[in-house]
Amino acid sequence: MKKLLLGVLIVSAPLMTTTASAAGGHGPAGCGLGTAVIFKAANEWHEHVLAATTNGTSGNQTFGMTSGTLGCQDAGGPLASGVDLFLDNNMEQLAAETATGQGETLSALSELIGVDAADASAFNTALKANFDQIFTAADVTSGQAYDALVSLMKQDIVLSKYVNQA
Amino acid sequence: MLRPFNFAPIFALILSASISFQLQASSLGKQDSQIIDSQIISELSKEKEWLDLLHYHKIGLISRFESQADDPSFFFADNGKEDPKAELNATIEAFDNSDFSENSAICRFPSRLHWLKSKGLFSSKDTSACSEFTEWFKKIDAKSLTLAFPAAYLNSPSSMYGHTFIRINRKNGSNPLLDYSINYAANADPDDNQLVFSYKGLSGGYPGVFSVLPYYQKVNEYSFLEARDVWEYKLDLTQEEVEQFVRHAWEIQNTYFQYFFFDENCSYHLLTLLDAASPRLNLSDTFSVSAIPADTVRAINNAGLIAKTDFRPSTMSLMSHMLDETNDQIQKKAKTLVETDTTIRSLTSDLNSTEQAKMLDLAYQYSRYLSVRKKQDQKRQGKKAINFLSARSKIDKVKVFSDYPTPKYRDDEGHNSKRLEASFGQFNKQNFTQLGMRMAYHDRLDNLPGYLNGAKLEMFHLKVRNTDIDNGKDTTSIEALSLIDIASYSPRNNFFTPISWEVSTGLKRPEAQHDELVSYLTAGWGVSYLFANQQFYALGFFDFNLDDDIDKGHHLSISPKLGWLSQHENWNLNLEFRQNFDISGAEYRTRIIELGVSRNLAKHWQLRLNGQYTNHIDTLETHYSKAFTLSLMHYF
Repeated sequence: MKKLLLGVLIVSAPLMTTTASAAGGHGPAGCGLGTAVIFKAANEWHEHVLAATTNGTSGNQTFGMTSGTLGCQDAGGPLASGVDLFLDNNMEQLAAETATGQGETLSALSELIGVDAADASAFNTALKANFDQIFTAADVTSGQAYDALVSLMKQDIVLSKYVNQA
Repeated sequence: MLRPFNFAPIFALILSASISFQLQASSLGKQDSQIIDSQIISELSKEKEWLDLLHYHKIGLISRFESQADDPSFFFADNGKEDPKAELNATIEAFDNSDFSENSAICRFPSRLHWLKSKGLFSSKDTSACSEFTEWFKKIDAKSLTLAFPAAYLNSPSSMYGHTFIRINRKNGSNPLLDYSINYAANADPDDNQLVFSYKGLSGGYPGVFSVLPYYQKVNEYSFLEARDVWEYKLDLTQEEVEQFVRHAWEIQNTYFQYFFFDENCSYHLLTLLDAASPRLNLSDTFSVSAIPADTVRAINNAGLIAKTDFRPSTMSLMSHMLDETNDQIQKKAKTLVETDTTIRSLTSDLNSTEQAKMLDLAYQYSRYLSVRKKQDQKRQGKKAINFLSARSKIDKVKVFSDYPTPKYRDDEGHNSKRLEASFGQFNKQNFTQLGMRMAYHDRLDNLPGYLNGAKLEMFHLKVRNTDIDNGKDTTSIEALSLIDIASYSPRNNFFTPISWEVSTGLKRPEAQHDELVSYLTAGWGVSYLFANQQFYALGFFDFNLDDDIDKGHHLSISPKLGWLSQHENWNLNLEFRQNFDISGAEYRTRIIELGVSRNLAKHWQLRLNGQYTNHIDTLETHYSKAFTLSLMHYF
């Protein structure tokens, strides 16, 4: 039976290659960064749920191996590399944890920015106090949230040292 | 599981052989392949590590080797898929001639090179000039491995089948969300529907591929989108083993393996990856027929490889926990906030700041539940949710709920997946003995620890019965063959409103016509509620039976079912009543009362008593039948 199915494989193999190169075609802004909103529409979720339930994955996920998040070109923003991508992928979690002032996703963000352990609680407090500036509305984009985060950190005595002043 | 001594003699031979070879190599200074004796290659090609790195496994009666990799580019030799020695020869030759460009032999197969180096070959070559691989390896920054096992979740019994993937913990950095994970999955066509998916998944119609993704992406998928708790098992491996695992992951990144749902699936291939990372591991050997993810976790546990376990609750579990720690008044207010346009301010006057924070946290979770799970009012709920969070950020309290308690039993600590059963009983005053076997997985009366309340997933369940007929004669026949039987009775409350459902198909003997084995398809929907930890349910079923020997050849009925399910750590009880009303085909009606009680004897043993009373009415007559069965169950 396995032999017979070889045909299917050969047909689908080029298909995968196409997907991978398409995913690699993003410009320097990197993989559509900055566009995610806090709450995704449920039908977008549905595809993911189906894929996860059935242990399946879709073509663009496999790309992560060689590049994926590693390869999404860094836009070179004022915060450490990877922060924009992380924000883009975790908007909802970050909004929820910022509102309470603690959580695993929030501490991942501060680790990624390079915030020292000693300043971590100042980071959490500052974000919580400025929730309305970062998450202005349900449809605020991760790009806007990024900019707001940068400007509040710049103004903060403790946190300003983590912002590149370039 | 571990068989450390099997390879010792070969290893000793190789060791001495490779030492003598090293001497030769240094004295002669020639290219490696020219001086490696064919005898040495022959011995090396039989080594466990080589066989594992190439994913060879024995097939058929004559124990020929074949690699499970289905991708020609994974091999250097034309017959590499079947011939470990030819492939080793070709690999050595390719390494000899390799430069360090991205697609060169050495840069594509760093774990093969690493292993050959450990045998004293290619000591002058390494991967440091492979810029892409080196950069990737550095980014992965592997320190240790954690096996992640998403637990079964409510209202999706098929999730009991499970999935496993691996998180690669970094050396520099402590937050696991920023680690990478390696995941093997069928690369499904997103346009295929669930049915096509199942078929192709079973038959190998999809290429399986490995992917490396940030762990937060997997957490979002499981904890958040899918509402599945995740068990995490930190593996007790050496740094050398971890690094060889990562090198090998690089090698198979673009290699296609046909994905088979039952055997060559996600969990199986993670085991083969671990096997390839270390000479001491033989985890995949026991899973030649099927690899149920929970069983692969058990295999890893049995091999003594689990150093530490952690539990990561899903957002649904967290919300249940919040409800447990919130009083009725606050629950009502949170519900009002989400379901009506009442302002937050108007509800907070009589609450202290902790209570306000609880109300808002709960309202936020409930709003997201409605939006994501129930797909209600997404736009409106999005606006509400951001308002709840904004109000919450003004309250000077960080944590208002306790940490989620780690469940007493992990999913891998439940009873084994297959079941044997020996029963005796009486049906209409005739004694019978019965043997049964079930390939997977759990029903509602099975030992509960490690499994979900109210869920059932059975596949291929056969019962064969020997009945004493009068005057010393007996007859043996198939009593039932259930191909698939899935049920999910998840209780509703003020916040969660899941539907309870059940689907099954196979061969059975209808209560009304026990002398006929008919094929059936049954599906039902309904609701279930929990009162004082007792589950009560009401479902409506369609039951379709097909057989030449039943009157008119088929029978379609609708049947309501009412029941009480009581599940405990050591015993379970299920009492139900159902009645069939025929819609078409054979005309008969039956009323059935059934009681089942089970008692755990040990983790993998159970005693079960089942009693059934049937009242059968057809066009001619009314009659009654009674049955009881006492069974000893063993999970293996």
